[in-house]
Amino acid sequence: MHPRIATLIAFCDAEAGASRSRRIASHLAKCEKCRNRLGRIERERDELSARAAAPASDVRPGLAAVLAAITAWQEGRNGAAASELRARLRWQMGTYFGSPAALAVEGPGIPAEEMFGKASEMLEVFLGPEAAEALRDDVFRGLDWAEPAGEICR
Amino acid sequence: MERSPGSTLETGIEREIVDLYEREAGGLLRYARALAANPEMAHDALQEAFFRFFLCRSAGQQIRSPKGWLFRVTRNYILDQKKAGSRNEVGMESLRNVAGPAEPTETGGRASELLQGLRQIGLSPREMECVRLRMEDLRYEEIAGVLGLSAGTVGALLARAHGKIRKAVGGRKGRDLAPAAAGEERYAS
Repeated sequence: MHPRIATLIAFCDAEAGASRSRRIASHLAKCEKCRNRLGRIERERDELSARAAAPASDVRPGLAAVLAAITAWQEGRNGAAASELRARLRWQMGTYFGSPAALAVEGPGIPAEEMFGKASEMLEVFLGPEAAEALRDDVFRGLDWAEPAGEICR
Repeated sequence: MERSPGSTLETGIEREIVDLYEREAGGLLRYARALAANPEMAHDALQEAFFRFFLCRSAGQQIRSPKGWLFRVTRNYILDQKKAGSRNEVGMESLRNVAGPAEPTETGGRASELLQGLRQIGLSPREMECVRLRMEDLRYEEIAGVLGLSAGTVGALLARAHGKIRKAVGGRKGRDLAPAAAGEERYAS
């Protein structure tokens, strides 16, 4: 029996799993028709990848910007974003777990990323990883990490 | 995402980000450009994803598949931006499955042209996204994580996309994608 096309694609992508891959390889060894099908799948994948590959020479400035934002964050130079992040985390904790939980997560003087870590942990434990991931996206949505001139407060 | 045991994580996070950036930024930017409404949005998405990665790692989180995580955050960021940009013009419901720009962007280059070609072939937004992410060498599990699907569904969508591409290639006699061999048989997925 010939493998389904989805199975051959998975085989081509090394996604079929060890035991199924062995069965497919053994079938391919004796089935020219399936070897041809696999060849077409491989050619299609290679051609699509080649067509999609655009030069990525302009990514370097992006790294500099990311590292600058990280440095600014570490030095407490984007306090507005940190304050907003805290406020959102406080709201999330209050909404999902009540005010006492919000107070427990936000200890005095705790850095925003530490508060975020604690909140994330609670969300994962009580709501599950997928919901926690979605709520993390929510908490970051629209925050401006750019460093405002002259502000030092975290 | 899992928690790491200690607070020694801070050490090396920047190095980790630089390595990750050097490895993945090219593919991420290609993907972002194909999805975004303009190049600025694509660059913003890239920087946002890496900065969020830094925050999550600084908060002590272990990210099991950084590549898949970055693609997911990049995609969600772009969809958010596009929704925000067109909220006054289009109802939310119609944007739920938006996967790419309505028209190919100039700066998206070959990636956007390719997506446009795939759209013309009749690939659904999800099929296109699976194909696109597969082209960036994401594992099925990673693609599933990016799109919020199961790995099995990713395999099925790729097979369906393959079928549509084969059909279109057959109709165009070797002008597009991998040329079909003479007398090629088509298989149902």
